[in-house]
Amino acid sequence: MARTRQNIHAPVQAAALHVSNVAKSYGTSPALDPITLEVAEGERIALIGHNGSGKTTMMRIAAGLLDASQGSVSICGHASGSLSARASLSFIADQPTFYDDLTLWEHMEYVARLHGVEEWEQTAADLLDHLGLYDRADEMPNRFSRGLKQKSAIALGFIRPFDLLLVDEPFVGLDASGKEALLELLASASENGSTVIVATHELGFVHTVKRIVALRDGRLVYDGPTEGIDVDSLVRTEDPAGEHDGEGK
Amino acid sequence: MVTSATIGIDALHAMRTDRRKHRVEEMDWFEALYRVYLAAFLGGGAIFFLSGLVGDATFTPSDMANIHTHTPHVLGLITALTVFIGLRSGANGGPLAVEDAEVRHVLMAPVSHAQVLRHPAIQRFRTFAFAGAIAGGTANQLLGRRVPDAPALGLFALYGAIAGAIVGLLFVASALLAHGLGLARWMTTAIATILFGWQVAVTVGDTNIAGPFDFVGGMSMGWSRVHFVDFVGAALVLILSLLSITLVGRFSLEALARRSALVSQLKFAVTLQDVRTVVLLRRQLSQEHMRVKPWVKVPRVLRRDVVVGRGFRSLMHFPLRRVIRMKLLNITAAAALVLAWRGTTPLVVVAGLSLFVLGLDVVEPLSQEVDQPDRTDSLPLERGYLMSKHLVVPALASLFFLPAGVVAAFIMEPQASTVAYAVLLGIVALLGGVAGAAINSVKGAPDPLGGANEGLALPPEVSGMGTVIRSAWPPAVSIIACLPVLALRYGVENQSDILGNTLRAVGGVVILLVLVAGWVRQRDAIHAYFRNIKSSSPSSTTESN
Repeated sequence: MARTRQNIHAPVQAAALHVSNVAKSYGTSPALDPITLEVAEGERIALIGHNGSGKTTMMRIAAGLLDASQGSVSICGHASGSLSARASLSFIADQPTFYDDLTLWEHMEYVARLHGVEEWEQTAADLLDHLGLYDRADEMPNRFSRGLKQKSAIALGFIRPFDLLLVDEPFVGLDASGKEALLELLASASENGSTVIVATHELGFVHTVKRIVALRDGRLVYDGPTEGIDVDSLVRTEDPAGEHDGEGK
Repeated sequence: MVTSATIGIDALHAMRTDRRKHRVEEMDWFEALYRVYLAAFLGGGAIFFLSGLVGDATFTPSDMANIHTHTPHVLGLITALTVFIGLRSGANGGPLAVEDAEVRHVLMAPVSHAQVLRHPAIQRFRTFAFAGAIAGGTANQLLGRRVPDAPALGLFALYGAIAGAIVGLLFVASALLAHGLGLARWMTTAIATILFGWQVAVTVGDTNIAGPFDFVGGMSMGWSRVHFVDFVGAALVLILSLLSITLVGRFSLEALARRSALVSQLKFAVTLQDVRTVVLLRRQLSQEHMRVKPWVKVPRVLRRDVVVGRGFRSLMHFPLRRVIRMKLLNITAAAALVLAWRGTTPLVVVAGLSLFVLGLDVVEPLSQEVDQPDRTDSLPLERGYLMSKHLVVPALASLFFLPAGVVAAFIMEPQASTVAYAVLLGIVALLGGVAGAAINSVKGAPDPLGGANEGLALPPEVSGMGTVIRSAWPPAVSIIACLPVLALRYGVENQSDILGNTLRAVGGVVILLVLVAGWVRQRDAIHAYFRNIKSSSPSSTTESN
């Protein structure tokens, strides 16, 4: 949350995310057709699509967790997976993972310090309080319920500085207060100048963004403004009348 | 200026130290000592068993000449196989398996991957070198007892340990190199096949040409002669190991993430002796997926029965690498049976286990049915009937491997009678492999009458023994099905009724196979029968009152 960038590489004037002709296939089965996408600094984007449309694949390639079969990804001008890219990018995955032997508070310290944040305690306390986890800070997150795990993963995603935030299906399993807290955190990240890309079906978030990127069957079917767009039609498995068979921009 | 990477590494070291402290603090010392006791007990028992198997009879001069001539090639062959597996492991994303959370939180942080992964890589080297040294030292020391006018046994153990450690180092180094250099799977297979083929050629061909890994066998013979070239080989292995450590920073995050999740599940499945889950997870680890397009369309006549048709359809989706692996297991089993016939009795176990593993693949349609208990139980069919029908296709499919086994046996023993006996013994051995694998699959099916928790009330000694028996029984059936080869050998050695002896042994195995099929058919009824007896016994009646 606190964007103290001391000791981290100086920000570079480049697109926050540049995806160039990226494709992914497993053997002969294509998961993502070649996609090119550019997201400017400070933008706030919803990545939408039906189940299996390629959203998570796209997110994981951008995060460096999946190797693209072709093409390249850069984060703030740095190659995806490089030290500088990792310093700039915070990725909150759809499946939270934690160490078995660290409490939530210890996780917060570890992740913060791994990213060079030495003054992390107050930020951690604020974040946990905001997400309703403060009383559980000394418990093991791997034993939490699905919703609490999701909140813990969100806290870990925000404890460290970032220029680009990638969040995959963050609203799944969250209660109403959790969703509200997350929306506030996302809004605050945008206000601080960070780029935010969220893969979601949550209309509450989709309506707050100005740009939507839609995938269908691994293809980019829409990239453009939210105004005048029927979001439901974009997340259907079939393309009604082929009306979005190209980029909106 | 302090860089972020340094700060991250400091945090990493600090947290690793803290976690180590946590583990020591939370360690149950009694349990740890019990584990040490168990390891010492089982290890000691294994050494005693091997000592008994090897015996103490002194080698004859011709035996010694054989040992001097063949040891480098044979140990080189074992090493070549290890390197083959290592290279394949590296191509599939091995050999490191860090925690899932380590991938997500540390490897995605701005911290040098090389520095994070160096420690687990060194740990892996340490573990494999130590295990290899123990195995090599023990084996060489057992050999030393039979060598006439042998030097001190410690010398045998030392050189055996060095050779074993080299094998361990080679496994890890080859895997790290394959992964770090990003070699494609086909390329690692090609390199591994060339090395293995070369070593096989010099071993089987009985030539004076050196194999690529002869130096390992040569090193184990240090008690008798020391060759400079063996030390050069060992030095090269050390250099390769160090080089491979420098490449860990180039590891694929995708492979590490995939393995981190799967390996922890795999370890858990091994703990539970859940062979089916181990098979499934191993397939996922090596990214072995079913073919989308079948090899050939199953003809209508074979699809007349829906269960049989489903079985054939499943087999038609087997990937090529699985078919090749099954063929190799098949040929290994045939070779082991021929060698058992020649006199090396323990190789019957190798043959049985190879066919059991082959059977685990062949019974895939049955295992898939067992994996979906809810679906199976919702069918208007008796489960035992369905399961027993699922045995038809694996039994027929296993016979597909018979010709290759017969050819392998004929190459090793080129006589007309080999073909006849190989067909006879091969059929029961292959069906035995299917039977063992079928027991393994079906015993994993949940009990519809809800008896899954019954064993929990038993004392640990009893339930533990039951678990061991349940785990050992399926491969034991496959091994038993290979025993007729010993009857054949006995008949030949004693010049008694060769065919009669063999047929009687085969008949015994056939009865066993029929019993297995009957068990699959009547398993639920047998469980229900025993439960009824138990519930109607006076003690349980009293208890329930």
